[in-house]
Amino acid sequence: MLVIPCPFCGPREEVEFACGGEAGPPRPADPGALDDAAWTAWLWGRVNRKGPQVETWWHQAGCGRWFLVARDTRDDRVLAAWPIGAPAPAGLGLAEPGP
Amino acid sequence: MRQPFRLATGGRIDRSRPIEVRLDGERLQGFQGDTLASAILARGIRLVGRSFKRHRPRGILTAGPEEPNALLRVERGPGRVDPNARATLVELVPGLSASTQNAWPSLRHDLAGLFDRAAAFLPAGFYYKTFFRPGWAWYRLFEPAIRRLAGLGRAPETADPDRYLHRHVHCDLLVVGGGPAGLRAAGLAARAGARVILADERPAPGGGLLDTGTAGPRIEGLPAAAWLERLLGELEGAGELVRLSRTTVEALHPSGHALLLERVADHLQEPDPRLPRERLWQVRPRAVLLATGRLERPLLFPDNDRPGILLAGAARAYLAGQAVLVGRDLVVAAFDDSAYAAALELAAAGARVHALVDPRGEPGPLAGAAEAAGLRLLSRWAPVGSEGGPGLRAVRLAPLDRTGRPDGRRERTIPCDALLVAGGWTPAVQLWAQAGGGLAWDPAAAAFLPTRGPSWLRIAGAAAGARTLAEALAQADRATAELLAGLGLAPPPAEPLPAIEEPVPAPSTPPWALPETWRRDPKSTFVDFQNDVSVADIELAVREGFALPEHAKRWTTAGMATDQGKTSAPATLALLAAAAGRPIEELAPTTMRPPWTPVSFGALAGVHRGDLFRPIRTAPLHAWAAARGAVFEDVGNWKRPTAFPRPGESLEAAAAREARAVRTGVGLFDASTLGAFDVQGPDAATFLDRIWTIDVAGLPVGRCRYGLVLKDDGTVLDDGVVCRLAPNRFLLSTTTGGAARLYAWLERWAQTEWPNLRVWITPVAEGRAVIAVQGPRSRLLLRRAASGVDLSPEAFPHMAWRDGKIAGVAARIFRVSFTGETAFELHVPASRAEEVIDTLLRLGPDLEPTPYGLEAMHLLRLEKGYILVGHETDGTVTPRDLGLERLLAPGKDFVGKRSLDLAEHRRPDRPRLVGLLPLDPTALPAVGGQLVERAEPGAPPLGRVSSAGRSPTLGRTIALGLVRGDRARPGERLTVFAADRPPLEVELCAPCFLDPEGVRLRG
Amino acid sequence: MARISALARLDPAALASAGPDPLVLREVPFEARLSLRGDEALLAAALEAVGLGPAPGIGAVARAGERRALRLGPDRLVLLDRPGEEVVLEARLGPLVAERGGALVDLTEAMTTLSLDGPQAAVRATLAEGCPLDLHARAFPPGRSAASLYGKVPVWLEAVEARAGRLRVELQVDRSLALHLARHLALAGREFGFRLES
Repeated sequence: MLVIPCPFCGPREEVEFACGGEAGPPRPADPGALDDAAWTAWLWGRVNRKGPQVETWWHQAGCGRWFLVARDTRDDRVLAAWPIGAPAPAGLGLAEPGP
Repeated sequence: MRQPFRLATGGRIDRSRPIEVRLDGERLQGFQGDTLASAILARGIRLVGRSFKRHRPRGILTAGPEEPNALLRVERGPGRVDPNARATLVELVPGLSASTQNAWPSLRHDLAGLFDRAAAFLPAGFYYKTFFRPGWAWYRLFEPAIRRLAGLGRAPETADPDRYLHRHVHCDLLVVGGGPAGLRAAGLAARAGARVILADERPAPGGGLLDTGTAGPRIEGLPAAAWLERLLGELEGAGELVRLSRTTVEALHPSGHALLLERVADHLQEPDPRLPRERLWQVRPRAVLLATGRLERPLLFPDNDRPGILLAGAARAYLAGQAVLVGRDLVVAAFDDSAYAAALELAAAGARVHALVDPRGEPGPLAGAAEAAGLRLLSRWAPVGSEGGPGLRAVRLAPLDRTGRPDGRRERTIPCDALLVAGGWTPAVQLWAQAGGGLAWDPAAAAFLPTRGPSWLRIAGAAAGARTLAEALAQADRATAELLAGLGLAPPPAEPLPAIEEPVPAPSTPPWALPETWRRDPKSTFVDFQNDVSVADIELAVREGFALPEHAKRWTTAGMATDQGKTSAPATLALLAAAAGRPIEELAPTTMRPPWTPVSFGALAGVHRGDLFRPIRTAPLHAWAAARGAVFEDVGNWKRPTAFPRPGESLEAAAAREARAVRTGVGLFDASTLGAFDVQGPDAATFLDRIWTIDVAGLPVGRCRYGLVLKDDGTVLDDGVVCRLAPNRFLLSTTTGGAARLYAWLERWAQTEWPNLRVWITPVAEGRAVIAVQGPRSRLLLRRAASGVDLSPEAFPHMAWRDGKIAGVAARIFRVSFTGETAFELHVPASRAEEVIDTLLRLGPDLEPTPYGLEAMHLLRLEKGYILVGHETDGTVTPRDLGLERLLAPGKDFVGKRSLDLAEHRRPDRPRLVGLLPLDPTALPAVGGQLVERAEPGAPPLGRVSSAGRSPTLGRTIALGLVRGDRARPGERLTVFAADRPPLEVELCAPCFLDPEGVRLRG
Repeated sequence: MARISALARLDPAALASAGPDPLVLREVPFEARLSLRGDEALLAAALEAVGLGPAPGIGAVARAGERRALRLGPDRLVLLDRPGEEVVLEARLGPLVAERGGALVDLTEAMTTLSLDGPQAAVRATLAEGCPLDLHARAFPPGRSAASLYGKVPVWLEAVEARAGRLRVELQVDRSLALHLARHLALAGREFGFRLES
């Protein structure tokens, strides 16, 4: 079981959380302006990175907040967690910034 | 004499407490402190089982968890059965009954022993090439026979009556292993102020030191046992130290999480009935020190598996622990110096050591002591075979020439009743590897030793390759200091290492270093005892192309038994390397996975079985419904009434009666379990407009609107009603089963996509009971109980809400209907629900208010063609498919809207919701049945039946289904095709069978 | 007719286990309970308005007599008080929340309070059976609260008071899950002696 370092509650056992999967780009402001290919690319496309990946996690049984987590998909190591809207910590080896 | 191999004195048993148990029905005596294995050996019994595949006679090999042969069925009472229990770990308790396994009709005369004669036809992997022909024979002949013969042990057939618990605990340092290194580390850390947990799998700490006797080390002038006692005394009050005995660390995960299995009660004669049988500790340590010790290796030579051949260290353990001699006439094969200590100790205890063979050119420091004790040392000799039937009678020895080959002409046969083998030691690094630590081959140690690991993990002592006690203690000191520094704790004052007198062992000769010893009969030279894998099997694997360790393991099953290769893995790897012509450093040990030893299902489940398997939720009116004879069903984790059958009434008849009552009179339904969410904030309407398909901003206060929530791919996620309580406050209702999912959905959008919106969502289903009063007489009934609210249709239209009082209890009343009849949903405080519903029943007996359940509700909504999420929707269905375009508000974006315009969702063959009328009005279509043109094999499916029922109002069967849009014409005839049912012709119609204008609703 | 609480119909005999100093589990029914969601400024203003002083940090408790607030997250707290006080609290806070933006929801009926009392080691060990938090006396002393799980049930925990080697902890749980929680606690506390007090 992983330990998830909730930015608000501190480190807690994985069982208190739900994982929201890979954190992608924000929802397009005007979906109507996108063609089918661009829309479905946003809807279903995922990077699926082998390495540090940014994910959304929900502290379901705790404070109830969603936040961002960098996790290395190679060895399941949790690297860092930060609130939505805050910048990702430096030096994590992330390819591109999260939302 | 009952215990011919028991010495009169010595050991750590309590001779004042004799214990009698049963073995295969016969009485077996022992003492407090015995294991089943030591009692068996004391009695002189050597045959304890038959091997898995070839049914060869087998005896006890070890004294610990690595035991591959002595797997017995142990019964401690009704329902308390453990098949495949290792006799070396079962502590003797009165009333225990053990039976040997895998032999018929008896252990001594096992019919399947014939398999051993046919060994040539049963090499590893033989089943990949056999049993294919003739084809009919598999199901009728081979499979039934294999099922009877395969497997080891018999599963219990009665429920386990014992209780099991978990315990979560956090600590600074987890020390695994209570041997000298572990004890030293735990003491240091506790004195430094750390919260320490020390877990040891044996009944008392001491580790390898417990298994030494007169030839063991002397520490500070004391024999090991005395020094241990002093050390344990010092640990008392050392700080915050939790010392767990009989506790195995089964798993150490890369995140640091550790699972410990504590055996609480099995060893107790009369355990406190309140105690659990086992406790699974879930430990979250900040640092871990592994002091897990080492495992001894057996030797490789033909017939090396005969009962009477034991590991030398095990023989010492039985002598020191239980005063049991494993034999009276011994031969000792010392590929490692520790065997000399075994020979000396057993000889001093009265055994006759007829030969002490050592294949190494230069024997180690104890050779002199051995000769001084009168033991005959055969230097540069090795065992090449064993003799005897089901029990060792003699060992064949041969001298080795300069190239290491045994000289067959000078072979000697020495009669004996036990052969002690010492093939060297393998550090127990399984937990280290589980946690992600690295391993590398060390030629000097002839073992894989730990290299680099996670920063919070260290390994010390024999497990790290230490060869002496002094080395082990020094490693423990160093590792503990490093971990304490990592924890930010100052190290305790330095403690000098104790003065130790011990021989420094010479290098071992690993058993695979003498390949010529098995050349004569590789098929009978066993590597993995439990799964009957021989040297020949390993070589065959390489010839067949399975040369990589992970492949060879699975193909031969070496290392896959319950002992997980504890005594066989290094030899397997070495043999693979030799057969493939590669150095062993190039091969990696196979992945080591938890658990370290078998774990009972009960321990893993803990309290979560039976009633507590999942959190069953009961609604406020549950007891009330039960008292009225309700039959319940599970909806998610909730219990909901299916129907309220009268005595002698079937569920179907009850549902029909209840539905009729709703259509003609008034019915009462518990809708408390439906999801309900309070959505508040200045941006509540904006938020909801982005989530729901309907117009929310334009909904007036006091009104309700039915709508859909879509996923962004356009499919229906859930449906429900949005009610406006105030300009910035809404109440959402959703399905029972979808409530948790929808809450996660709402919070996720609000927090991750639109965190700038000021809106807060709170689930509110729990606090209120929802009593739905439905039917043409519902208003009549309510008027008698209501106050403070005008219930007339002009003042209180359909799809609106009002506050009032029912039976004097504050209620918020919603006019929403899932039955198509005039309906009032009463939301009252949960604690007063019974009061309210009892009052309604009391005030309206002439109206015959009828409680109804889910079956009736299904029939009623089916007659109206109302969709039920999870029936008409399946995660692929869109609003247009359901004919619910009217619920898609124009002029605003909402989640799912863009996808509705995808080409995929505009195809003419998209499914379309239709009504189905069976041509035979009594025939009930199967839900999930396929709709086809004609019932013939290969007919393309045109749709499926999503709901079906016998309509009491219409007096006939009706159904809903989803049919390809280009075939979904009213009047079209299709056939329902379902497995094991006759085909059923249906006619398509509009998906509403009653009052399509909704006149009854608005009444 | 009296209000029916979540555990009103639970037969104490079903959960009892003998012991000289058993753990005592007691439902405290119908405690006033309000959920308050909003930003830091709102939470602070609200607590001042009801006499609970400055907003505590996450995991801390603000208390004045029977009235207390558990800070469960950055934007949420739960206010607890004697039965009946929910009316007073709602009247005091409703306008404040409406004016500043936030969410005030009455959870008096939606949840119930279970109180577990007994020797400190037994109480902590019983809670440790199902709760993955660090419940050591230094990590979870009186005055601390946490939102977590007990087995499969979400709970809000508060270490309320400790004296003379005894500890009392309160758990807030959804009404519909109270029965499951009580049964789980009873099994976990069985070895120490356990009693359900009505």
